[in-house]
Amino acid sequence: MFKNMIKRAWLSISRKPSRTVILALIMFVMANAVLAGITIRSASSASVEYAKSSLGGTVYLQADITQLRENMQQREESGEIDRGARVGFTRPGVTADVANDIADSDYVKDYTYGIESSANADGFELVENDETKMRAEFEQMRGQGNFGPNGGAGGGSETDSDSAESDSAEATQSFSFGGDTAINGINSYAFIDGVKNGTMTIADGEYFDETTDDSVMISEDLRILNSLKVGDTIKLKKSDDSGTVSLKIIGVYDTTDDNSLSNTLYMNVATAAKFLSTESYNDGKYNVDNVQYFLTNAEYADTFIDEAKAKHPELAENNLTLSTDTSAYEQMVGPIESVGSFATTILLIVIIASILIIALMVTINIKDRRYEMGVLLSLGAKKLNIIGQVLVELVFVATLAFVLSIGTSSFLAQAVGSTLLDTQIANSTQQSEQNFGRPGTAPGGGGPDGGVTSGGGFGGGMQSFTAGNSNSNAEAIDSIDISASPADYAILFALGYGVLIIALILPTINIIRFEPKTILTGKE
Amino acid sequence: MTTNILEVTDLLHTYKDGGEAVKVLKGVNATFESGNMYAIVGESGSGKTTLISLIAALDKIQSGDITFDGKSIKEIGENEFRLKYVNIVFQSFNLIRYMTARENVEIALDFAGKSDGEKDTAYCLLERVGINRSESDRLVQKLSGGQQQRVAIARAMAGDVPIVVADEPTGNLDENTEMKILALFKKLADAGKIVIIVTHSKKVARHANAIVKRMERGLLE
Repeated sequence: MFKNMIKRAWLSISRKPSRTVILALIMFVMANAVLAGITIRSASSASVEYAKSSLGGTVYLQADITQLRENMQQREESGEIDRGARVGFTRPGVTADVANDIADSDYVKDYTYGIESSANADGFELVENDETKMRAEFEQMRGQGNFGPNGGAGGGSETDSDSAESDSAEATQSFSFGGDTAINGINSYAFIDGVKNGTMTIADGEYFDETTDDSVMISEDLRILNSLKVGDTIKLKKSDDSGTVSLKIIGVYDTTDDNSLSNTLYMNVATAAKFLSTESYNDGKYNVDNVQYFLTNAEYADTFIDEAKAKHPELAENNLTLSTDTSAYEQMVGPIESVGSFATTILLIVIIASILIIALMVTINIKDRRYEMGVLLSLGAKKLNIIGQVLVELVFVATLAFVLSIGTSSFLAQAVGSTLLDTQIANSTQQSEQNFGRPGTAPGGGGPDGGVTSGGGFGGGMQSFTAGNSNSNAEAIDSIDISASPADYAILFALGYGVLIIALILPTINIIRFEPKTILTGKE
Repeated sequence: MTTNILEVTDLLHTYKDGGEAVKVLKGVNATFESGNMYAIVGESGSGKTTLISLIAALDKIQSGDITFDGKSIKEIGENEFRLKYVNIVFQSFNLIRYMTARENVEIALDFAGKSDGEKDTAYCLLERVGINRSESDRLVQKLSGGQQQRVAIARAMAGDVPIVVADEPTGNLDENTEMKILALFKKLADAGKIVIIVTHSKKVARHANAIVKRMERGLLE
């Protein structure tokens, strides 16, 4: 009986070539559309996953500015402070211990924090750059009595004057340059912006780490100007004149940027802490800045934040908050996610259209063959055997169409996927231009601190290492690598055969539920 | 040779025509014996085709019974009865159009479980009804009406079933071909089968030298 069924199916396929070709053609087109949809969806999904794992997601531990403002407002409303008075609020700090403890999590791939301060060069010259020129001009103006005597230690001050809201005159009055040399302490050399974006390299010696206390990396420009070399010692006066610190040069860095970094000294956090105020340094509980946690996957951000809050419930009381920066992720995957979403919609439409079209074709085909079915029933064929014959025919044609589509769908998917992605990127760029007035600029731009650095001075704070910026400059994924995997083919075949069975069952049963006489007389 | 008996008892059959129940068979009783050829004659609408459809198990028995050698169709099952007991030849041949004459016969041989050497058996059966090898390998739609009916008879012979029924088998054929086809049925009857032909033509009945049973208003005389 089975052999008979296969034989009849083959005869039907081979003796009705036009019907077979039309059916195969329609299934081929459908299969291409479905496979293109599946592969675009898979590729965009893979790209998003890749972006998630490569960006990893960054969580910032920082002052809760919103909460601080609210507190200020409440104090104003309660009359504790005068309404309209420009009173700065104390920025809450994060100790290295807390930062380290929070970093002790399975979700954290890496983390960074640092100390930004300044000091005065003692016994060596500084490279002339914009900052030194500005400093000279400032000193000259102060000498002429244009400013009051408000100069004080800049970098390292932990009082935030909410500079975004200050008027310029007031800001200038409270301004201070601090020391002439930028001190940049960071827990790992790898997290220096220039190192991350490839503009900074080691020209000589080695880089610092947490074990290299009292060691420093200087710029190549500074080394040449002062004929220094690795192993030499330089001296720096603390900006509050509380003492001098000697540092051994362990490395020399070179940078492709302009000379704005020439007078910046890089060292580990413990060394940089020595340039904080004596009080801060002596109690050993000095605060660190720019605390960032790089997660293993962006998806873990919320879980990690919950975990940290549970571990340190005092963070909220201290007006500290953990927040994510999803702008880079959104900018990077936004267009491709739209493509994936579009592909899913198209896929659903194609599947529904396939079911309807194939069901219609099968229905017409089965109606055309009702006499044949009646004859087979009159000869003693079982109903299942008849359904089986039609199914074998459809599966044969479908398999042929599906296999052929494997060769062609990738071209279609690549073309459609790339076009969709280009359109989405163009839309995204247009949106960005409308929002920010310049193309390709990441929203937010300034990272979580909004560009506010501690202190009002130009000293150490000038050369901040806002790693957040580098992430938010992430470019959108602008290409999509569409290649179908065996899993995609499996989905196509499963989906295709499923559609065939659904399309076959109703019309076939609708005919063979009748007695042969009814079918043969066409009275069903 | 033992005699097989096909017995129709109190057969009632009704169909709905526009919501109105029409009684087609009103209690048909008849007995058919192997080795004989029967011609059921009657006017259109007398119930001939309904009776033969029930005998060929193409429709369900509503009331009454049909037995073969004492076994009811209901007991045997319609599908099994069609497979092993009866074969039908239609006025419009009802061959599978995308198959050759031989393939049409082979399909019936397969259903009958005679797939060994089915190709030769099919040729042999077709030759017995006057279809040569060359004609056997042509698509049935390229054969003449007479040739197609011969193929249908060969297909009916494939299962070697004891009952062969035919509904107006010569209705679409010329007189010369009609005689040859009737002769084939006669041969089947002579070979020990029960052959029942439904026709409205008394001439067919007479030429076939058949036992004539008249159907009138749902009753068989």
